[in-house]
Amino acid sequence: MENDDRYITALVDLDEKKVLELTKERLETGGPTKILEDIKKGMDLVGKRFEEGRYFIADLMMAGAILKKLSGITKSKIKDSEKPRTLAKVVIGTVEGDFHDIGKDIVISVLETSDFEVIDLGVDVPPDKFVEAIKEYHPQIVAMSALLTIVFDSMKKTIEAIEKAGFRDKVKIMIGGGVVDDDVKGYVRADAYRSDPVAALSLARKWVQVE
Amino acid sequence: MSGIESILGQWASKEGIQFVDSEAERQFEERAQRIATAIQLKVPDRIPIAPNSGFFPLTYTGISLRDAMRDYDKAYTAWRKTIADFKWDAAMPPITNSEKILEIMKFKQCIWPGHGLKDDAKMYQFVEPGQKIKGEVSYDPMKIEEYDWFIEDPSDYIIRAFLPRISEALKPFSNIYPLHGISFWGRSIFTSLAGPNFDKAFLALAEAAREANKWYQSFVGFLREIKNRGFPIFTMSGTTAPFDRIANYFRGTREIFTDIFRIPDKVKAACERVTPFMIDAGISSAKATNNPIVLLYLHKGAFMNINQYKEFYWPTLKKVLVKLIDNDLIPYVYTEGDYTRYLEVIRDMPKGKIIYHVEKDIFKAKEILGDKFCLTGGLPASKLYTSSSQEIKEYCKKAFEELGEGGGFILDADAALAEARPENLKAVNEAILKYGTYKK
Repeated sequence: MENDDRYITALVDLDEKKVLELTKERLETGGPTKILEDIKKGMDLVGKRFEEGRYFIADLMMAGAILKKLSGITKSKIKDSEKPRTLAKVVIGTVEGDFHDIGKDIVISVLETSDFEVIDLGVDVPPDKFVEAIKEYHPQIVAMSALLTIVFDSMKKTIEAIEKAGFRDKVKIMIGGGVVDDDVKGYVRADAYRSDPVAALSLARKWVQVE
Repeated sequence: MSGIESILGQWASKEGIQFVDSEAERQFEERAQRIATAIQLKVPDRIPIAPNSGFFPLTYTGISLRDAMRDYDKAYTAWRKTIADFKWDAAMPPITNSEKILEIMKFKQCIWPGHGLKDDAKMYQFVEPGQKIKGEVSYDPMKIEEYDWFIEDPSDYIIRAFLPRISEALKPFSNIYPLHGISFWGRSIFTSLAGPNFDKAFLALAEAAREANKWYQSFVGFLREIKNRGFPIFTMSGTTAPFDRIANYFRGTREIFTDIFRIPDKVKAACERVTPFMIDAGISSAKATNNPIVLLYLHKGAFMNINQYKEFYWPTLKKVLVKLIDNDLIPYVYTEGDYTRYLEVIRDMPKGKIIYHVEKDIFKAKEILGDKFCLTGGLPASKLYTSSSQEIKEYCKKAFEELGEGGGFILDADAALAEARPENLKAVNEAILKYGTYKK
């Protein structure tokens, strides 16, 4: 089976119905390898439109919803040998005291699409949970989210706990979320702040040197 | 339609205020004048300051949210002290909730200290439809196939589907006989009232109503006291952008942003359907509180691209704003999140008729909207917590030059305050006196 520009276009345009139709059609005549390639190309173009300002968060959410349906269809057809190599592991969570999950979940979907393995600790995650996850999964990157000004100190404490456990130089730490900015980055001593999921992805890629 | 001057005259009116002394009266006049001048895009004596105080009065006074939700007087103590200590030009009313009412109704739209949050939590948090708390969905969102029901008869939907989901105590309402079926004090009434546990639901409502009345009386008394002490209340009423109404309360963020792709016409129809209600909510709450400034927090617009905003969010929001203006009210559009890409869209509103709060990039907003609307914001909540007082003063000096230029600006934090450092807010006050005075 060949790559299919129509397919990529439908995906970039977030035309869910067409993408699902074409996926079923293509799976009747062949395996999922080329489809997966096209999905990746399509999602890169979605990210490009985001960077150009044509797309925004709602579009990433829709892209994520389409991907979820696609993975439901293609999953059973993918052999282990065809699965893409994981670029790096990312441990992610919304820090203690904060229950917002939407931003975090979009970042997860964007990272996973680009072959990062993401360990999601959920919301209201205390510092020792982050530390335990680092111990267990050995991630290259830790990502923290916060939407409330009252949890800046949770972020700070989490990073201090990571330091204390001796992992600070083993991981790169990025932060994000509504009220977070470069001032907060300095205050909590993270390595970087990014304002949107696509920027978070390109930073993650840079950190693991795939750009 | 009245001119903005007479509307603000009503806002600044001293009628009915029993000032504690002549100094309070003088300061009330001065403060109200300062704010009113800025709203009219003119130049006051100095930059007015009126932060959206959020939960800051609690963190400042050390009174716990838990206590403030249990004992209304404790909340007022926190607000009273904050208002007296910082002497801002206009006060914002307490935003603490009543734990007793939340408990009686077994309310699921928020989590608070001891109920989903740790006992010492500093703010309560809104729970979206469908949001999971500790792994479990807190309450179900409106289903996609329920749009038609909602659009056909929103009140019926709210009574029989929405209330039973957001309140455990009102769960029996899901079996209630539709109220539009009631005509005669006979069988339709007993059919309506005879369902399982309806008595319990109504008893809960009666108990909540008694408590709400107690709370309301004390609240109104407190606001009266604040005015008597010489502080205008910035805004007491509010309404919601129609799209936010549907997204925040009925469908949830994840659902609404797939809906706009999958069933765009239904989303639009639902927004249109609630638009008159949102207009009415603004008008009636402004009337009830006798304060013409109507606050609208904008939420979901921040998630969209500009075309989606123009297609789904703005048309019904615009209708609400226009109608509020037509009714001699001043919409206070309070953006939460980044609305920079929509600055040209809001420019469409008539000059000087709205107040516009900016969370992100107020400098750009000043450039594009500065001649049209009074802007509020300018103090990053992050800096108020993470910077030193000296850095804050330096930031203020620079910011005031640009943002204060030509008047039409009220200093506020970029997002509602929570855990700002008191010494930094004091530094802001000093900076206002030092760098915020306009040359005559």
